[in-house]
Amino acid sequence: MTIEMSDIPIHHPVTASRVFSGQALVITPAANTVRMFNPTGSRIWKLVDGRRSVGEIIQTLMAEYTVDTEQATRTSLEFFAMLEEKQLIHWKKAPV
Amino acid sequence: MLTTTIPLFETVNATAPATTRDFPACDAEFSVGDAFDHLLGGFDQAHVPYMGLLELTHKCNLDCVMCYNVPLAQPELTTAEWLDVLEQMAEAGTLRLTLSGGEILTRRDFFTIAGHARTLDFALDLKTNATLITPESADRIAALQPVQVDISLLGASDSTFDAVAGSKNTFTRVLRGVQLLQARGVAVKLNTLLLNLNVHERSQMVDLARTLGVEYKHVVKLSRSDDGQEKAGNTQLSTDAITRVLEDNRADFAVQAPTAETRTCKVGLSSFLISPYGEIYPCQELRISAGNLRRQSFGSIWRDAPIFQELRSRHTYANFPECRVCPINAYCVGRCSGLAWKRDGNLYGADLTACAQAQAHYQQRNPGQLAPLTPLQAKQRRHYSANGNPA
Repeated sequence: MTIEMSDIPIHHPVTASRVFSGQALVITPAANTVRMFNPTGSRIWKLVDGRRSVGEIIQTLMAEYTVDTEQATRTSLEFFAMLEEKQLIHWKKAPV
Repeated sequence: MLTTTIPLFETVNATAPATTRDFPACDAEFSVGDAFDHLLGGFDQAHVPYMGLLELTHKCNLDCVMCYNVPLAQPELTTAEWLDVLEQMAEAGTLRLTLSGGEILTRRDFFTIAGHARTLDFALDLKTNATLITPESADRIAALQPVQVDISLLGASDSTFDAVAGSKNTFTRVLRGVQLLQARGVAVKLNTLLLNLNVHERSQMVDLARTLGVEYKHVVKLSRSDDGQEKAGNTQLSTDAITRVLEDNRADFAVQAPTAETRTCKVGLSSFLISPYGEIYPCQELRISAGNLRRQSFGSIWRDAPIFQELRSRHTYANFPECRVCPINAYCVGRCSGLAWKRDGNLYGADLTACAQAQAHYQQRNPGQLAPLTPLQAKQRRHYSANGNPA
């Protein structure tokens, strides 16, 4: 699907996860897998709280990292697409 | 303050099997091999309460001869109290939870508690006797997406199973529960505590697990009850029988002489147990209370309780006087402080089941040679020589 800036990512209900000292640990129990992300991916995972939109998450990253809008947007969207493909997140549309 | 450069958002560790990371049974062997293990090692060092065993109730519909739970005359935690405890544990960093009993399905609010745990992103393992599983409850268990459901297999026939479990048609009912879960894609593991009542059906139980296509494990460790009573003393396998079982297993193991800093298990580092009454204990065997959740927060108990502090700082071979000088300690992989403590109140003593296991390992690696006695076995033999053997 095309990801819109107003879309709100949610941790997929099949996952279980925690962020330990900035390191996200994501378990997919039924698939018997454990995944870890690098610090930035872990930060995004923590920002995925079912309330923030993609745009808001990117804005937060830009405030925390030395990064321009183009790079932050491109790499964030790639990461969200990967999370969706691996069924680690799903989406809810922002209320109109 | 903008100080860092944004790196690529890549997965740094692909996937690793999760079921090898059971709730730390005291006979587990540990190795640090990959990034996930490295992270787990970090939890131990930082004392992150990563894994918890929650005994939601001590009520059970069976009456197993070896059950170590002793229901107390005080109220179990309410639904609201458990939900609050879950919130506290999530805040403290707990990720893996094993929900156990008693029998978890005797709690009418089981799915409320378990569902809230999943909402809080916990990974769940469930322990059940499976006799109360219906098609409806199997659907709800599957919806929880548990890592695994652990089920006790105490015989390969109704007559044997019933003799252990104190009920009727238990084997048939357990088998039905297993199949209901399997039909819904739930990972099941069967566990057998070998007793002199069921050891004769050991091979049939192994065959059954193979036929069902489920993981299987049998253990020989028999615990005293939580109140220290030898409830199941007469059903315990003899040391010779334990040795025979372990020799038959012939699982691979490492022979490694312990150093003064070696720990025999990770008790107190990153795992804990909560009883139905809100007591926090270091593990299933070591029922020394760290505090009660009705009076203190989870975080303060985990951080400050004297028993956790002691286990973190002193639970090494340097402080195990019998084990330190044991001639076969390089073959020992299962010493349990909880069993040592239950036997004579000594947290740093030896554990006879582990002694038998070490002897079996010795004989496996040194065919034809009689394994030396451990210091505890030698002490026990001297005691029996002087006072007579109760057996």
